[in-house]
Amino acid sequence: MQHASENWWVSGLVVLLSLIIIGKVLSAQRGRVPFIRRIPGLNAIDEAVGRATEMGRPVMMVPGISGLDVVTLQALSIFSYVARAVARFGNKSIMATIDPIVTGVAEETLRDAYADAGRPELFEEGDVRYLTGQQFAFATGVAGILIREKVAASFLFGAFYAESLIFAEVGQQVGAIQVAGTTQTNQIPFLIAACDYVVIGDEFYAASAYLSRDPTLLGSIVGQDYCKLLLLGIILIGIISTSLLTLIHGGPVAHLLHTLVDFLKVK
Amino acid sequence: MPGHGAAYFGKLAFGLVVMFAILAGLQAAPRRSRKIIIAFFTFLGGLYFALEFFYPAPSGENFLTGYQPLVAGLGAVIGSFAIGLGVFSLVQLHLRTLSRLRPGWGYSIVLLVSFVAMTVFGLMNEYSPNATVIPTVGGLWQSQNAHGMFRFLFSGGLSNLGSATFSIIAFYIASAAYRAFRLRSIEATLLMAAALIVMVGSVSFGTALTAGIHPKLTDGSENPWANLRIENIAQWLLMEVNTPAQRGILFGLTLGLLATSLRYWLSLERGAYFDKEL
Repeated sequence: MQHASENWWVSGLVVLLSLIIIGKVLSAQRGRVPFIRRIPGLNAIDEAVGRATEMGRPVMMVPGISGLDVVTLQALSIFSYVARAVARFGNKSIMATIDPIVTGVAEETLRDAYADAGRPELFEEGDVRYLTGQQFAFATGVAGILIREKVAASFLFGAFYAESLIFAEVGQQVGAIQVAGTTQTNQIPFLIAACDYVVIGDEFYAASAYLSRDPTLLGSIVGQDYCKLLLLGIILIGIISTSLLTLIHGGPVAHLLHTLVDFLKVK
Repeated sequence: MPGHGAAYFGKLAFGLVVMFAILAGLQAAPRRSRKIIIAFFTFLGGLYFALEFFYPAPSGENFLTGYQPLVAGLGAVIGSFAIGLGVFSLVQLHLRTLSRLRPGWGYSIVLLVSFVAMTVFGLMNEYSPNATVIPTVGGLWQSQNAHGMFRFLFSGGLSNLGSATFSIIAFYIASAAYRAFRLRSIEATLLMAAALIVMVGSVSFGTALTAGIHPKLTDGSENPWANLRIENIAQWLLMEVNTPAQRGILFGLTLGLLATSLRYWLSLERGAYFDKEL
C-alpha cells in the first residue's frame, strides 16, 4: 500500500490541490459563478435525442464497464441529463449495465430524471438492463440491443476498454448518432474514429457542470483550472532549472538548481 | 473455497438478517434523514482511506492498514446483495419478453436456459464436483460429473465465446480506420500520415526502406541524417508528440477525478444523488 510518508512533497501537493478545489467550490456557492467554455459534444445531446424521437427509435446509454466508482457516478450524472432530455421529448431510453450495484443506482437516477421532467410514467422497469458481469458477453449484449432495438442515438460515457470499438462500430452500423467520453486515454482514438462527438480528457468531468450549470460544479471546474495552472508552473520551473543546469556547471547557483530539480523529481 | 457446515450457514443467516434489518430501517427512515445517513457513511468511508494514506507508516503500515480487509469485506457484502437485484431484474425482463412473445423471445429462452444451467452446475462444482449429472448411455456418451459439465459450459462455452467476440475487434478496427483515414480535412490527413509512418516504421519492410541511411558516419560519429530513418521518425512521433498529448489529457483527467471524488466525499454534489433537500 502507498502512504503519504513515502513522499510528503507529492502528498502535500495533493492536499494543496484539494484545498484549491474546495475553496473555489465554496466561493461559487457564495454567488461567484464562473463562466465555462462551450463543449460541442455535450451540445449535441439534445440534437441526438431529438433526432431519435423524430425517427421513433430509442436512445441507448452505456455507463462503462467498471463498478460503482467515481467514473461511473460521473457517467450516471451525465445520463441523468440525457434521460431528462429523453423524457422531455417523450421518447424511450435503454441503459445497459455490467455491474448489479450500478444497475440499482442507474434505475434510481433514471426514475428521478423522468420525474424531474414531469414524465414519470415513461420510465419502465426494463429500461435499465443488467446484462452480465463478463466484459465480452456484455459487449455482445449491448451490440444485440443496438441492433434489435434499432437505436437512433447512443451515449457511451464511463470507463471503456477493448470493447469500446464494438459498441461504437455497431452503433455506427445501425446509423445511430453517437456521443462518447471516457477516462481511458487508450480508447479515445477508437471513439473518435467511430463516434460523431467525443468529449476528451477532463471534459468528461466538466460535463455535469456544463449541463446543469450548478454553481458547486462550476466552482469545482474553475478550481481544477487553477490546479492546472499550478502544475504548469511547477513543470515550467522544472524545465527551466534542468535546462539551466546544462549551461551552469558549478557554484552555488548550480547547487541550488540541483536541489530544486531533485526536489521536483517524482521518486 | 466455499464455506461448509452449520456454523457457516448460521453466520450467513445472521448476516442476512442484519442486512435486511438495516435495509428495512433505511427504507422506514424519513427521506431527509436517509440522505444524511448516506452522506455520513460516505464521509466515514472516505475518511478511513484518507487517514490510512496520510497517517505516517514508517514500516509500510499504520494502525489503520489492518482494517482494510474488513472495509473491503463490507463492499463485497453490499455487492453480493446487489447481485441478487441484478439477477432478479435480468430474469424478470426475459420472462416478460417470453410471456408476451416479443420479438427476439428465442434469445430469452437461450439466456434463461444458460442462466439456470450455469447456476446449477456452478453450485454443484463448488459443493459436489464428483456427483454424476449425466449417466452413461450405451455407446452414445460416457457419464459426466458436475465438474466436467461446469468446465464444458465455462471453458468450452463462455470463454470461447468471449475470445470470439474479442477477435471481432480486428474487423471493427479495419472499418473504423477506413473512415478515420479518409482524407476529408487537414486533421484527417495529418492523422493518416502519422499513422502510416508509425505503422510502416514498426514492420521490417518499413525499416528496410530507409536502411540505406547509416546510423554512424565513416569516422564513427553519429550520423545526423539517421534521424530520418523511418523507425526513428515513428519513435519520435510516439515519444515526443503522442506521449506529451496523452500526459496532458491524463493531468486533466486526474484533476477531474480528484475534484469529483472530493465533491462526492464531502457531499458537495447537488445532482442525482445528493440533491438540494439535504
